[in-house]
Amino acid sequence: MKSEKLRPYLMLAPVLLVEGWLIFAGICTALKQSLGHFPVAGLNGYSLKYYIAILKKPDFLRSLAFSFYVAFVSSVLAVVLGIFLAVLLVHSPRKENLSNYLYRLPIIVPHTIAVLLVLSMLSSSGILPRLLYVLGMTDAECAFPSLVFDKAGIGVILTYLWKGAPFATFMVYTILKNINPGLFEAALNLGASKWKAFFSVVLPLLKPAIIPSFLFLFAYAFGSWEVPYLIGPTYPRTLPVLAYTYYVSPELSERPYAMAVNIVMVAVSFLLIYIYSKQMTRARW
Amino acid sequence: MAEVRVENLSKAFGAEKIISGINFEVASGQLLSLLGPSGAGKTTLLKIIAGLVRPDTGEIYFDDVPVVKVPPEKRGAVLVFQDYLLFPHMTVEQNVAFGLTMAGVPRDKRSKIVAEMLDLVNMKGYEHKYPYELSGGQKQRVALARALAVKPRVLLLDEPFSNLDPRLRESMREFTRDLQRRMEMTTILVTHDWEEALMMSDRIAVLINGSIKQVGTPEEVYFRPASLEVAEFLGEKKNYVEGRVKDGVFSCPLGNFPAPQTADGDYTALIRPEHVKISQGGETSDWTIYDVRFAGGCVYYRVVRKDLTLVCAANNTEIYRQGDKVNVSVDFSKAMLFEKKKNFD
Repeated sequence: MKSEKLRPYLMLAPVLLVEGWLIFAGICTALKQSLGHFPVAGLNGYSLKYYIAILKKPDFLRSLAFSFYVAFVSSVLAVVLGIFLAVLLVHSPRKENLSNYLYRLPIIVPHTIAVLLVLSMLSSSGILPRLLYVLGMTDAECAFPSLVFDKAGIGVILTYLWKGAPFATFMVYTILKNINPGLFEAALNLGASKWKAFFSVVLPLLKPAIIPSFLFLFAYAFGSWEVPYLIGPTYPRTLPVLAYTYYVSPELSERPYAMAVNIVMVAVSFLLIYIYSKQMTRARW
Repeated sequence: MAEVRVENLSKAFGAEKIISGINFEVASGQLLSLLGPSGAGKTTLLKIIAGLVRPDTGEIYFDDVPVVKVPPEKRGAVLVFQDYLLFPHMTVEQNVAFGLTMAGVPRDKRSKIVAEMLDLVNMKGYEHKYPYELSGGQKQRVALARALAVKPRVLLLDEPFSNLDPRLRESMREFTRDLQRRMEMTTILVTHDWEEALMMSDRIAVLINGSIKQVGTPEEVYFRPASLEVAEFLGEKKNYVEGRVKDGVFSCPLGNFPAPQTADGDYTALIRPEHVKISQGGETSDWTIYDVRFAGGCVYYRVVRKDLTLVCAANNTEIYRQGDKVNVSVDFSKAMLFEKKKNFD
């Protein structure tokens, strides 16, 4: 009995140990350095002064807000689009074709490639501005609004959207196809319009797909570095890019700032995990 | 409560005809059963009346007003589904209130009606339970309350008792019938269970292979089925005896019986087991008990003679044993004669 219970843990142990060690050791080192204990740079002892310092920096606060904004907007849009596409997919007679091209492809393409795609489509010399120019819809190629390296982070958001929407579609579709279509009919039958039936019956039942895909996409967009680094504006920077700038600074004494930023991101991630598990235990049905 | 009239309703899915040429009426406050084997198109017909499926041809009238073009949410024909379809993320209270919420009924009035409905179906105290916490019978009653809460013009019941265990089924039938009579609710009940249809209905429409074969009161449908098809569907065990009518007399291996106003020709007589009587016989009796099936309230026998086997339902005052010699008498006044279909091949 007891060994049966232990079995899965034992079998997962090799992976868990490596993963756990990497994460645990990483977080511990980051925490230590963020508290100012970094003997290599001649820093000893622990204090909160680096946290206090970054919290006072307008740069940091601007980055924090910008990261939240990018992550929130991109994941909300991805989930909304995902729900829309999943509904289309459920009602589509050619599910197989659609599912292969629509969501498998973006899911396997790495983020850096997605960045290149968005760049080649939307940069001022990209395919879309040139096409619009040829079609006579813009006066000059440079008249196309700048959607990459822009202050509103549209390029970053579009990249996350391109990657995230198929993932959300996939998550929502899996749940949606198992929802009894009779429930929708029952709602109509009791006097709900199609929209009301969708919002009051189908959407709440999709919660087990919506919450995790939103949190997952949010966490990724909040913590990922390469997309905003490659395609984001130089100011404001997202938190990971900010942390990276501190990190690669030739001045080793800058390192604790980088780690303090990292720990803030770790804290946000743990908060998301907490919300996730809380939400998941609530949905008992 | 509305009077329902269905005229010439047809529906096909692709090349497959589901129902065709359906006509029937339900008087206000009455219960009509749509009785038929599975796959006869009963549920499709019910969904068409509810507005969830559009018919290819035909019209439905509620109190003489055509409703086929009225969308389901405005039609007022509420369905209680076979699998109840309670909203799993809502409590009992929210489920029952759903239709009222959709209709924009203010909160205080809504909770009053919900309390009333839950009282009506004996589900007081379950307001805050979720559907997964309820038993089948409780779900059934909540589904009923949810449907009744919106004061439907027509109540549609789709095999509502088939997922319940037998004892509960019986009490839910009684409960539903009682409620329907008290509220004088125009109701259409879909069922494949002929006993249920007989016990619950004011009238029965027998639906076989997508068309209605007979509409009548339970007695009419049981005692005077319009065709052999209908007769076959009602009742479990039957006796078929072949014979010929000539000059108003039906002659068959059981003897000659008067058959006035019946044209000459070959006929099959359908004799229900309860119209076959057996009594203690002697050595000279032709019939022997072949097997005995004791069913409590009655006893089923199969009796054999050299050329014939009959099924008989007798009372339990005297029980015969296998191999007993018995006398058999058939109440031919209750037998049904159906002309034999001629084969032209």
